[in-house]
Amino acid sequence: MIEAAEALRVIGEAKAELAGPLLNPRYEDRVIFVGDTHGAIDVTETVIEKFFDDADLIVFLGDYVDRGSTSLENLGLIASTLLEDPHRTIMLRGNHESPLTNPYYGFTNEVTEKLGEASYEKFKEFFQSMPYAVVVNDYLCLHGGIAKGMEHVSEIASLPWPDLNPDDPIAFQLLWNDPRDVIDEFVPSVRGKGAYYYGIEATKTFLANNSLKGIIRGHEVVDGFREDMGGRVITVFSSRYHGGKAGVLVLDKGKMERITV
Amino acid sequence: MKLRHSKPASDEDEISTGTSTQQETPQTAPTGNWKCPSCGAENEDYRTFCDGCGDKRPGAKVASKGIDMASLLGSSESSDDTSSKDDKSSSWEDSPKKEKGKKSKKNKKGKNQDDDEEAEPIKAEPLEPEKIEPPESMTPSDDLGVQKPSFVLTGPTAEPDDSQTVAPSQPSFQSSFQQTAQPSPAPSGSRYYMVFVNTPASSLIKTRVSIDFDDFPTITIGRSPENVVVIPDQEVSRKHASLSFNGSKLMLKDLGSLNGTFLYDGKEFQRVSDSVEVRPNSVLKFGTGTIVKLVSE
Repeated sequence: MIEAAEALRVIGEAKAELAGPLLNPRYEDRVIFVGDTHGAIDVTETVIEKFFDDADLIVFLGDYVDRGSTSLENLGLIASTLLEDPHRTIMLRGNHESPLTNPYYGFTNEVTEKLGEASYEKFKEFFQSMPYAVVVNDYLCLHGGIAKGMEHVSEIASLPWPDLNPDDPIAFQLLWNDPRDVIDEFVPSVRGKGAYYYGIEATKTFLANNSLKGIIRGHEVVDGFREDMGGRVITVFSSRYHGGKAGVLVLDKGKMERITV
Repeated sequence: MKLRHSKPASDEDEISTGTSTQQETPQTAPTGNWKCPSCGAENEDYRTFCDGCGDKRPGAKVASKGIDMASLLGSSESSDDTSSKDDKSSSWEDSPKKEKGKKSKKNKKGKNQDDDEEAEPIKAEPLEPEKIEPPESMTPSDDLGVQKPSFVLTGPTAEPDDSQTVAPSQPSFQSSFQQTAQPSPAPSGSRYYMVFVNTPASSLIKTRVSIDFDDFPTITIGRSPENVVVIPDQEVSRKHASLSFNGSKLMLKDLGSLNGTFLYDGKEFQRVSDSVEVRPNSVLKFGTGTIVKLVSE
């Protein structure tokens, strides 16, 4: 268990490992995908203990904080994994790595209680520089999904960065959008202005234009996993607060394995 | 807004049915054979209703439909009945609204989306979820639990369930709607469905609900159980909207809902002020959290 003060130090150092809004594509034999943890440090610990050693890469899909009382420790543990083994660790940004949500879903309070209000600035600095996406074994990995107005993955690399909220409409959608195969293109989402549902035609077009196999993302509460668009979009959810299962997706030489912890 | 008039009317129907039955009951019941005051027929003592015309015996104690109905309708409806009837669709939603007169705006942001892992993206103005929760905690606790099953059975198959739980209200509700809406018969041949794109009860997402205009020429949509399609969403009004054919046009009508009925125009959701034509593949939004797509086959 990592202490809160340690977490603060770790994210300060791990910031150096945040390379840009889009990471370089990766091709690896065995990859572990972890969805929203939201302070579920026991899930993060279990995943690291059980799966990290023989994995070539572990991808955290964002939303490490808010909705719990151990967000700091959870964030610190993931950041320290990134710090210790940057080549095998990817730590993507979620919509909760943002001052848009932290004051309302618990993280700001947790930081204030454990470290003092001023420390939150350090977390903002870290969040605004986190990467949005990476392509792993031809799967686009990101927190929310594809964005209305974005045709190619490469466009992510030139998004404004760092971007605190983020305010860029494309960046915002990458973190906030949800898949819905009952619609074709994009429909505004109930999550609020600027967020959309992406439909099946939009998804197929995007995947085809980018020679991708699918999308691996988090963002929505599901009982471990959910598949949409005929398996093209896989949602992984790895928290505890929803009372369901915490899912961990393992991609091993093209074979997909769904594990609940 | 104009439609507000028609809504309470239907509720008053229900209420007056109840009260008039009660009022007809005098304090003392005579005994022995009785003569019907309406048609003059002689009736034996055991008869509660006139053998000749079917009128109720003066003073007879008959289980009051109104009372049964009130209890069957559950706490939300009955509290509603006793409260002001001016805008029943929003009576529980009133408090949060009064609390911060900008409910429609504020609530759009946070509301009860816990289920769905929402945090509202909207820029960082304070819209703390705690404030947004009140509608949820104020609602009768049975709301989701009761409505969800009735929803699942909604559509043609819902009738048995409806008749058990809220049957008394259904006739008056339906008939009053039909009077105001006067739907035309649906063009035959196609079947219509509503597919949930999003709603707070996340298990309903992607669910396809058959809407059969032969069974219900006016498909009423809302949060309360007497609707043809029941949506368990706090931001949806009790009687929120309706779908019915006007000639060959399928019309979506807002029934004075608090949080609005919207039609997606390909760019954004436009609020429906009275009624608007919809077509297969139209995307509709009820309130702030429920989006459905119309499908026909």
